[in-house]
Amino acid sequence: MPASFPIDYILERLPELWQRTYEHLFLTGISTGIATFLGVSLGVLTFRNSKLSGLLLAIVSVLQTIPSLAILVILLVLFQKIGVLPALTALVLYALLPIVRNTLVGLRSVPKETLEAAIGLGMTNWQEIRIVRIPIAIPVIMAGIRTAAVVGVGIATLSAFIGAGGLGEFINRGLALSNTRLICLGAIPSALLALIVDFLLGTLEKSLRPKQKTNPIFKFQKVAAVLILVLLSIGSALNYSKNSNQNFQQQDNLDNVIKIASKNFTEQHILGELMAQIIETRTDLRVERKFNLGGTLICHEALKRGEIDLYAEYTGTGLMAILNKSAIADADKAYKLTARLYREKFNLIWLNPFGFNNTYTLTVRKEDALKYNWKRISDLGSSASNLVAGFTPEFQERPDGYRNLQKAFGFRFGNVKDLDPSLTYLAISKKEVDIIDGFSTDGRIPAYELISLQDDKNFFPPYYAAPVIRRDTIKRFPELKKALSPLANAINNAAMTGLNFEVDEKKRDVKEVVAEYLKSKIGD
Amino acid sequence: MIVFDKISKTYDGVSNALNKFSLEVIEGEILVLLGSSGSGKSTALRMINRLVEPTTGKISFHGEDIKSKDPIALRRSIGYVIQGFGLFPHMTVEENISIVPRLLNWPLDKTANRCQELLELVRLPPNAKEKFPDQLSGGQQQRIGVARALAADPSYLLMDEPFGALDAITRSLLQNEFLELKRQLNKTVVFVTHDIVEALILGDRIAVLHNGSLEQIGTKTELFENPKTEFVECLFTKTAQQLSVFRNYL
Repeated sequence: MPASFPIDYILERLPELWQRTYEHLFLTGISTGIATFLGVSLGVLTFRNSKLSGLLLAIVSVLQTIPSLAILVILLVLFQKIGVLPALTALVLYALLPIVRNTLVGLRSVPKETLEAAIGLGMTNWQEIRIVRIPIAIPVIMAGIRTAAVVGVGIATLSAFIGAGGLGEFINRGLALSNTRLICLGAIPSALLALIVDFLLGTLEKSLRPKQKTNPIFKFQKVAAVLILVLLSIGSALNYSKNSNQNFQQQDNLDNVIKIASKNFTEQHILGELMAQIIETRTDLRVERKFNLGGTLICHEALKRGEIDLYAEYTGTGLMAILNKSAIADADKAYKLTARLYREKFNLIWLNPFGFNNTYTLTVRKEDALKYNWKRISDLGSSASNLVAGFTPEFQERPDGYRNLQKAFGFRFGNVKDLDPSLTYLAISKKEVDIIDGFSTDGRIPAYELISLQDDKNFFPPYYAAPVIRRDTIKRFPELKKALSPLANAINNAAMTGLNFEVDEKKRDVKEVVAEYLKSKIGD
Repeated sequence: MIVFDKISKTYDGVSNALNKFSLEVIEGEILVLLGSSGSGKSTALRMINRLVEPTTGKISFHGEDIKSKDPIALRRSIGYVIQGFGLFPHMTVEENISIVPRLLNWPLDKTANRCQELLELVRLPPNAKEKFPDQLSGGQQQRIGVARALAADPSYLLMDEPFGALDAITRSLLQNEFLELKRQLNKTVVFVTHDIVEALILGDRIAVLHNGSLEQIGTKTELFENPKTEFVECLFTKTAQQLSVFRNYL
């Protein structure tokens, strides 16, 4: 594992690291703040009524059990928006449980005699809460806020899936590119951030307990906490001023900005970068990259709503996943139908395909293929029940995936494991599984000494990639069509596999690989 | 003057915590409500500042039905010292003592002066102001409880077994201090206890409660010499016997 960190690797990414840390703190800070306000208010309003507070606790507990990615996607659909808003909402919902629970426990833990005195001396209901219950409950409430904030720092890494930024951006990119260094670049700072937040809030929590005011160790802690806080705010202030300058420039020529997105795997990243660089060199437009969005649906919805202008989609995906049509084996027909329906239904335009067909394949180890003489998918039939498959969740669900494959070929595998896309290749090379779903242009197929089996029943529909762009973007910037035209039919399967290989296996920078390719092939 | 007029209280609808309880509190006296636990003495006391509402009957305060008074204002005008002190653990001694003036929106300097005065009155050192309740001894905490009740200079003071949690020596010391204080301030005090010796030391008059009913009310001499019920007679003769037995050991 090439996980060493040369200093220049970090230095080079320092501005972005700073930016992502700032975004991360922003997401966590704002969401914890809102959750504190909401959670404490709800706790105060319901603590006297055990039925109401029970209901409240049940609701926030159920929210907690929804997997974080699922809640992000649900909110995405609900808000019809990618970015900060759904991410913040998800973080707030997650932060509620510890805050509400601790508020209820804290408000109820006030000794009986103290309450008797409060009422007996003539406090009103609200005075009793404000003067007695809340101050006494504060250390417990703070402990809840602290838990929420620390958990929030962790969950905020997932916000990058829906384009809300943060340190998860590095992790996502790292996962997409199987790049351990990038993953660490996101994961280590976010872990450190969690520790710092825990320490800061812990110090605050103690300072709210009146009797520790004079403890000397505590004084040192307080000084340290204040120092960290000052450093962080100076950092983000500097960063903010830098950003606001950038924003200012952006504002200046907002009309000239084109937003390009990609899904979260290597090839998409390369295609996004290809389009971005060619637009940057051949037009005066400025490109904003919104790469690594968490999947087809997110890209498509963002494109429809104009949050992005352009991304690369595959004919098969468009036809089946978005348009809900059945597969068409003929590549040309599939492209034409998809393009027509996209234009009619969504006002989105399919430009000419890049030229390669990145369809699904079943992939096995080369040594097994030689040993058992597997060439076509049908060849697996006799031994299928002894084989262990490692499939991505998406492949198991989609219509051109495993469910219908079983019907088409008339066999099923002995065991199927659910694997994350970034893990399937590792699993098959370590012989944890015997067969995986792969993409025909995946650079890892040659790299891991694997081989794709021939689809002898034409089961997998064609997946030709092409730029998909909003019609109003094309109208505004007609020069885009011409700028992108050199990419039409320019990249065949071997070329795409090669590009993927450079990034996935040689761990080279996408920008660099793309720049080199454009120079050599298109002369830019 | 506080008058209980045929007060009954039931919590469960079956048994009575108080049963047709009638009583007058005379201005300037210390009236002790004496009884064992479950006798209804605390219930009666807590009705005066409307922490408990009677099921039937009427309590009047200077001739006015207390039901017509705002309970919050009523409570602020009556001093209340409770069992187990009930100090606010998150506030300093000064903040604890100043709570009722704060609720009444007194000016800050008036509150501060009053607090200083009270600390001297209950014989606490001036440096106690900044301390938190659990940094003080039980006796000191109880003094603060009394000072807090006296802060807004109420003419009535309700005390619910205030010395119950203290050791015998501290209790006796505080009882004497309290008598001295009472002489100085001339408040009307309703004092709940289960301790007959405490009742004898402090009470100008003693009301003996048993199972929710008033057995007898009067000075200690009246109760001792002329007990109206068997319960009262038994209570006093037994104590006298115990005292003579005690004397024999000396």
